[in-house]
Amino acid sequence: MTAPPLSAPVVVAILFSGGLLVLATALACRPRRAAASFGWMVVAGLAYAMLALAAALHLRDSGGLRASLVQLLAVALAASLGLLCGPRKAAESVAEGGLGAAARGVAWLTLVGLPPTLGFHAKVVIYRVLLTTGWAGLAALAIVASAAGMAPALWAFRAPRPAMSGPRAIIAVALIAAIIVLGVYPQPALTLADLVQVIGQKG
Amino acid sequence: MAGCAELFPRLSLRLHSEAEKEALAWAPFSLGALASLTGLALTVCLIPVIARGSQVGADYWWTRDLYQLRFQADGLSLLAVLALYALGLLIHLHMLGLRWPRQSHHRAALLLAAQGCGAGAVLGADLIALVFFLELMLLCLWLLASLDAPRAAGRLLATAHGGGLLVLGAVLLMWRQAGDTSVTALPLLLLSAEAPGLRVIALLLFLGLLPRVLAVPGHGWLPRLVAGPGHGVKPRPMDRGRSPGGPPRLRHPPVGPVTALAPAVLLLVVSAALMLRLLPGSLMLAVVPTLGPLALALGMLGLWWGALRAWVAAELGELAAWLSVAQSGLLLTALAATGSPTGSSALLQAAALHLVLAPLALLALWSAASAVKARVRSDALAGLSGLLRQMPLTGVTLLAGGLSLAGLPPLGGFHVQRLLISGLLRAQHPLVAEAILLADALLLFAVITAFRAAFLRKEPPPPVARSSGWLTAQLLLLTAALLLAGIWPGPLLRWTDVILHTTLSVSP
Repeated sequence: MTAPPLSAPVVVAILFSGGLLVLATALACRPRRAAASFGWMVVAGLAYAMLALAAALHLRDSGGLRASLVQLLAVALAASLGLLCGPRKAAESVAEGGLGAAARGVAWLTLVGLPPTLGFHAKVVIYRVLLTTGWAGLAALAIVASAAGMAPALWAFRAPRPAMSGPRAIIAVALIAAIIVLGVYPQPALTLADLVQVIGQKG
Repeated sequence: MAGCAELFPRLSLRLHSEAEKEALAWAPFSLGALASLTGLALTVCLIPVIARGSQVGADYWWTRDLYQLRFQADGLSLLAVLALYALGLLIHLHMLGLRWPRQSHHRAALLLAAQGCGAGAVLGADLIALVFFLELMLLCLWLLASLDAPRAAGRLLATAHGGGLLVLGAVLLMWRQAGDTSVTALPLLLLSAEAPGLRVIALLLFLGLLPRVLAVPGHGWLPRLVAGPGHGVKPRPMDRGRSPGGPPRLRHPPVGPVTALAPAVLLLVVSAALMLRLLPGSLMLAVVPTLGPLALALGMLGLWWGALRAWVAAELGELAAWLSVAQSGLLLTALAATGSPTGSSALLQAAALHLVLAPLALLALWSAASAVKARVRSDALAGLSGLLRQMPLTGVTLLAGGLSLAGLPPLGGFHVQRLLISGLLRAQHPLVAEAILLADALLLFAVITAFRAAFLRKEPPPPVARSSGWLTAQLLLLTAALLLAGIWPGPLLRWTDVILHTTLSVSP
C-alpha cells in the first residue's frame, strides 16, 4: 500500500498525539501519588488512541479507526475500574481490601498493555496500524512509552489497598471480568469497534 | 510494590494456627505435582505421534481477521514442554519436601499457571499467541517471586517486559513484511524482506529474549532474587522458655527456598526454545550476518562474567545465580556460530541439548542451595562447614549440577560441551573453543571451592534441621537424571537429531 504525502492536519495530529503520549508518560513516571500516575496513564492511553486516529486520517484503510475504538474501550474500562478503586472518604484510604487491590492491578495491567487484558490486544492493533501506515518511528515511540509505563505500575502497588463493598464491589467484579474475558477472547471488542465504525459511516 | 500478596491478600485460606497451616502445606504442592505429572504423561503420549512425522495442532478462532490462536507440536516444542513439566514436577516436589507453610496454595497455583503459559508459548504457532503466553508466564513468575522479594521481582517484570515489547515489535514488523503472524510465515519473510528490515527484526528478537535466557546485559534481576522468605529477618526473643539467669531463647524466622529457583529455570526453558525456533530455526542467523558476532561477544561476556562472579560468591544461592548467568554464554555461543556453513549441525544439536540439560543442572544447584538454606537457616559459605555428614545427598546434588554445567563426564552437560567444542572447531573458531574450556575450568574451580567450604571443611557443622522424604526423593531424582543423561545420552541425541532435520531444517 503506497501512502500519500502527509497533509497538514495529519502532521498536527501526529505532533499533538505523540507529544501528549510522551508528556503524559513522563508525568506518570514521576514518583508521586499513585492516583495521579494512574490519571496520567489514562491520558497516555487516550494519546495512543489519537495516534491510531491520525493513522486513519492519513490512510483510510489502515484500520486506525478500529484500533482507536478498541483502545478507547480498554481505557474506558480501566479508568472506570481505577475510579472505583479511589477512596470516597479520607478514612477509607487506610482500609485493606483484596478486591480493591485486584481491581487496581487489572486496571494497571490494561493500561500498560500486559496479557491477559484487553489492553494487550488494543496495543497490538495500534502498533500494527502504525507499522502498516509506515510510521515505524512512532511505533517505536509507542513501544518505548509502553515499557516506561511499567515504572508507575510497579510503584502503584505500594499504595494502600482500597476497600470495596456493596454495589461498588459488584461493578468492580463485572469490570474485571469484562477486561479479562475480552483479554482472553478479544473478538467481541473488535466486532463492537467495527459496528461503531459502520454506524458512524452511515450516519 | 508487593506483587501477589498485595493483589490477592484475601484469597488466602483462613487457618487458625501454625500447626494447621503446616499440616495442610503439603496439599497444594502435591496437587501441583500431580497436575505436572499429568502434563508430563500427556506430552509423553504425543512423542510416538511426532516421531512418526505427523503434525499435532489445533486452531482456535481468536480474532476473525487479525490473528488466530494456533498451537502446533513438533520435536522442539515437545522437548521444551516435556522439560517444563518435568522441571515443574521437581520444583513442586522440592516445595513439598520443604513443607513450606506460608502461602503454599498461592505458590503452587502460580507455579502451575507459569508452566501452562510456558507450554502455550512454546506450542504457539501464531506469533501473537506466542507473545501473549510469554508475557502471561512472566506475570505469573513475577507474582510468584513477589511473594518473597517484591523489589527484585519488580525488576524482573520491568526488564523482561521491556524485552517482551521488543519481541512484540519484531513480531509486528514480521507481520508487516510477510502479511501473516504464523510461525510458518518466517521463511517467506526471509525471501521477501529487505536486508535492513530483516536486521532490525533479528536484533529486536535477539535483544528481547536476552533477559529471559539470563544473559548479560539483561541478567540484573537474577542475583537480586536470590533472597528467599525470612532472609535478613532477625530472630526475636521468645516470651516463654527463658532460662533463669541465662540469655533469652530466640525464635528464628523460618527461612524458605530461594526465590529465583522457579523463574530462572522455567524462563530459561521457554526462552531458549523460542530463541532456537526464531533465530536459527528460521535461518535468520545465516541471513543476518551481523547478529553472529554480537551474540558471540555477549555469550563470551556472560560466560566469563558469570564464572568470575561465581568464583567470588559468598553464598550458595549467589553461586547458583552466577552459574545461571554463565550457562547463557554457552547457549549464545552455540547460536552465534551456527551462521557458518560448517559445524552448524553440531552447534544446533548442542543448543537443543542445552535447552534440557542446563535447566536440569541449574535446578540441581538451586535446589541444593535452597535445601541448605531451609535446613541450616543460612546459605552463607562463611557460616557453613562439614555438612557432608548431615546432608550428603544435597552435597552430591550441588556437585552434580555444578560439574554438569562445567561439562565434566559422566554428567549430561558433558555432551553439550562435546558437541559445542567439536562444532566450534569445525566452524574454524578454535580461539572461542579455548575460551570456553578455560571458562569451564574456572566454573569447575568455583563449584569445588564452594563445595569444599560448605561440605568438607573440618569445623563443627551448624545445627541442621531434619530432612523429609520428598526432598530426598527430589534431590535423588535430579542427580540420577543428570547422571543418566551423561551415561546414556542416546535417546536425547536422537531426539535432537530429529529436531535438527525437521524444525531447524538442517540438511544432513
